[in-house]
Amino acid sequence: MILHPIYSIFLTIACFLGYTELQRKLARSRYKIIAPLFNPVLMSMGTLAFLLFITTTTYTTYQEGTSVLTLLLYPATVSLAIPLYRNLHLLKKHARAIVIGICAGVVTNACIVLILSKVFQLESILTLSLLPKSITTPIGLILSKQLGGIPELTVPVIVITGTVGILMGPMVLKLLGINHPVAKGIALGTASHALGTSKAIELGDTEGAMSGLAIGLTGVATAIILPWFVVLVHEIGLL
Amino acid sequence: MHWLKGFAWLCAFCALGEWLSQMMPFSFPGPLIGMLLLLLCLQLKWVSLEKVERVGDHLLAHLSLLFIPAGVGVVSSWGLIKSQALTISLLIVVPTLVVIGITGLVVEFQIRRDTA
Repeated sequence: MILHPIYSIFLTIACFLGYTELQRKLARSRYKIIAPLFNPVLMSMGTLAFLLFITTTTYTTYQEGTSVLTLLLYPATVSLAIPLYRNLHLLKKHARAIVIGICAGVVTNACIVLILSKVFQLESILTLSLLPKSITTPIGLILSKQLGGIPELTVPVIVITGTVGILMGPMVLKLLGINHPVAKGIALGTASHALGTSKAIELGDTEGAMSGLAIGLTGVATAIILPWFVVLVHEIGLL
Repeated sequence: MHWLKGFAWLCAFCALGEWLSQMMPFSFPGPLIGMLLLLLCLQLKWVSLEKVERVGDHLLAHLSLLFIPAGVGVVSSWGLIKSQALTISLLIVVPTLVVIGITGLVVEFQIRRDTA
């Protein structure tokens, strides 16, 4: 079936708006604990994939139709400079702690993903797709492609990572006795990007600002560290 | 017209980032270079915040819509992942929780040391 691009764009936006409204309604109802599970992005991805399947439309057709939306990810990533600029005073105040913390987070993520992949004997293309899972999607897409992973797999993985951060992040922080608002915000932003930030904003102003700041910084740290990490792992023959 | 000017600024930084990214001897994502350059220009007051904040805030508020199309593509690699779905889930949940813990502990420890 030949589809005009506008069908793809309309269905994508309609799905997203519909599921966003559904999640908002759930969050206000007595089922609010399960609301994060109804992530509008994951629900839309599933629905659209199903629609493509039943209408026997190829993914390429859909991809070409929605390329305008995907292209907007580039200026959106550049605008991450805006929350960074607004919170620069907070960054300067705790610069050392924030930078060390984010680097520790990025390296920990890479090591644990690698170790678990080895334990479960995951194919290396899947491991490479999972490595950039804690950063914001546009950067994750680029890094996944650069490292030799499957960008289309990295995207839902990134979204699920964010959902895990929302659902279980505050519990981990409480369990380990992490109380400082800066530490809480940076932890959520480093591990679970923009979705974690939505949770951090609920915890407090400083937490939200810190988490928002961590998205851009984690992106930079990951883009620097991850390619070297993969080269190193290749050298010692682990991948 | 205001938002269009802001959008033009963002696209200009994007294009500059992309161009520099191709010039670089090692690979580094273009949009991140664009982001760092915009941050620098905002800090040096070469670009005022009002110029870009309206369109930028809108883009960031609806960021999640923009990556739906890429994610739908997971169906095309479904054959590769369906037998590994459980392992992949584990590889998402465990590292995420550990990273939250480690990052939080390191930042908290360092802040205490810096203020002591």
